[in-house]
Amino acid sequence: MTPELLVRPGEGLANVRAGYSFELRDRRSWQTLVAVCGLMVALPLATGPFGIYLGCTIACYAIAAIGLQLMVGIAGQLSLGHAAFMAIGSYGTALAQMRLGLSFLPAAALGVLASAGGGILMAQLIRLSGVYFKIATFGFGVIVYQLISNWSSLTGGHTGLTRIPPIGLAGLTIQSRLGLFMVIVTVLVLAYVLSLRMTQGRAGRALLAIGENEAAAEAIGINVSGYKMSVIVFGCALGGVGGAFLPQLTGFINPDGFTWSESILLLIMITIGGLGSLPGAVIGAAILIVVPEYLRDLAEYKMLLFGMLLVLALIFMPRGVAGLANDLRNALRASEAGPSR
Amino acid sequence: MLSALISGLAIGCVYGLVAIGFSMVFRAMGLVNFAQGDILMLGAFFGFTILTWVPAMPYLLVLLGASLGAGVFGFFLERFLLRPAVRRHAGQTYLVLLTLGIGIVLSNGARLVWGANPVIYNIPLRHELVRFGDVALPMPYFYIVAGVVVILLLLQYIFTRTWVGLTLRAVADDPQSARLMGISVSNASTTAFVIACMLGAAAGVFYAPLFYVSFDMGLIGVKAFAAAVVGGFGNLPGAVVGGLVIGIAEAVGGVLIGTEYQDSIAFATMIVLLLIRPRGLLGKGVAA
Repeated sequence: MTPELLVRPGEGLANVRAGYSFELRDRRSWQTLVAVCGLMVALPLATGPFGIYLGCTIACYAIAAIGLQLMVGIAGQLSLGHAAFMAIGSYGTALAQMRLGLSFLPAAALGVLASAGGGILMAQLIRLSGVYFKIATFGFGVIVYQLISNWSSLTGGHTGLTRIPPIGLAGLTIQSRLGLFMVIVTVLVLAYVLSLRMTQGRAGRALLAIGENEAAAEAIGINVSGYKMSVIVFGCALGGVGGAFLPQLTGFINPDGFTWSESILLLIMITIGGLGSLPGAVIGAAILIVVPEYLRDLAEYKMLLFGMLLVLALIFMPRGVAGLANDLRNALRASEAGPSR
Repeated sequence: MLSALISGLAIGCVYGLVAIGFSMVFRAMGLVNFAQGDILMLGAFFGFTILTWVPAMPYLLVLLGASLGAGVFGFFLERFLLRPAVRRHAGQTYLVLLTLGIGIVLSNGARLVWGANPVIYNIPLRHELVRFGDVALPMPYFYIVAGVVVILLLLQYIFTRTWVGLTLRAVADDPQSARLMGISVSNASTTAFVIACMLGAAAGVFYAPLFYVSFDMGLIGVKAFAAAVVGGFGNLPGAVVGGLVIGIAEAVGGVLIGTEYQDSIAFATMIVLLLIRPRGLLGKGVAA
């Protein structure tokens, strides 16, 4: 195979990534982080109790979506079962709290470890290339869902778990929504910063190269399977972190929150936000959580709407909201710079 | 156990039909069509609508009608949504997301048209049983097995004895050389997609009398995906073998472990088989 064929442009993710790949070390990605997280804190606080509730939900899903973004948008490992890792995180944490009597922090650590363990298990499947891996991740999602809905003695089956104890930190119990919100948003910011660091520098370039073309990445000496393993485990662990906080919102969980359509929802989040863009994952999560809340009457059409949104977004704005924002910023900059030249 | 084996065989045939569709589309277009399961669902509903209009319609005609309907539908789907994306070499992630989106729109669109409650085919075939000594088997099983054999012979004929089949094989082998030989690659991929949709719809009509028809039956299609993968993706005989393996594993495993875990068993079988034989049972699957 000639080198030209090996790195044929447009084969990989470049034509859908939100212009992220070219500004890895850019100060702008840190500015965007500050802006997105600022909005993430300010908007819910400004809109009252319901806004705070939504803010908590968005933050949970945003953490999971960032994990998925790293796997799918950056490293090109499409996972169709990400909700399974949220489920493992959720159930792991809640069960450790209730059955083992642990306080939230060690319980969540166990839950997240369990997700990461699931991730290691799933990462074994990277030996299967491309298509095979995607179907296997789907299968993983189905297996986890059926386990939590049928293993009634452990998980409470379809009714799920109720009366999950609140978070206790150093003797303080977090009772109010506001306190919970502050905790989750702090975790979101941490997850975001960690992920941003991961996409920068050597590791970031390696992951992007893998997402672009695995064979070419291998050829220039990148440890493809090592990087793929790490990004899958890290992404799944983040799914678990997002999941760990979910039961805190309502005090109960059941398997319905972790179905196949939930996995799809996470994929739609990162696609609409912009594949390959971390702020895109947060924006996408916000859009997909907020929109249905204001279309309660149309709940039946929710998935139809999301499906259409996904197809239309792919056709008309394949680089998502983040890509649009990027274009806008470049256009603005060009018009500012224009006259002075 | 014997009846589980036979029902597994019959359901496996249905998976096999859908799996052939997956494999054909993948070889012709390089596209993993996640909407294939929803095409199956659509075919089953088309059959239901035909039966509502003309309750006395023979089963064979229902089958043909639903397949034709799905074929026409597939034609437009390929022309207007998928081809533009394939043509500009969109990445696999993009294509998978696109077909996933189409699948969601189809299944939830069907929910709007035909309602959220499952429906059944109200035909005598549903209740007919065939007795062998003390084992009674539903009649539809025999229709499925016979139908699948006929369809396979037909496909074999098309692929080996007709020009259309020859062009399809040529394009699957090497699109660039095929193009140089004057074959229209885009027509070939449309043909492949339409045939895949017709097979999917036929599978839906075969499946319907055994169980029910509902907007979320697309999961069957994803299991068929597992079947295609087990046999070796892109390999047509492998698709049928994979279908039978998954169908039987699921039925027998359901008896041994519990029917509520059937889907898990199907996928676990797939994952284990893939880890042992990464290119499928027949070993000729493509590295995709």
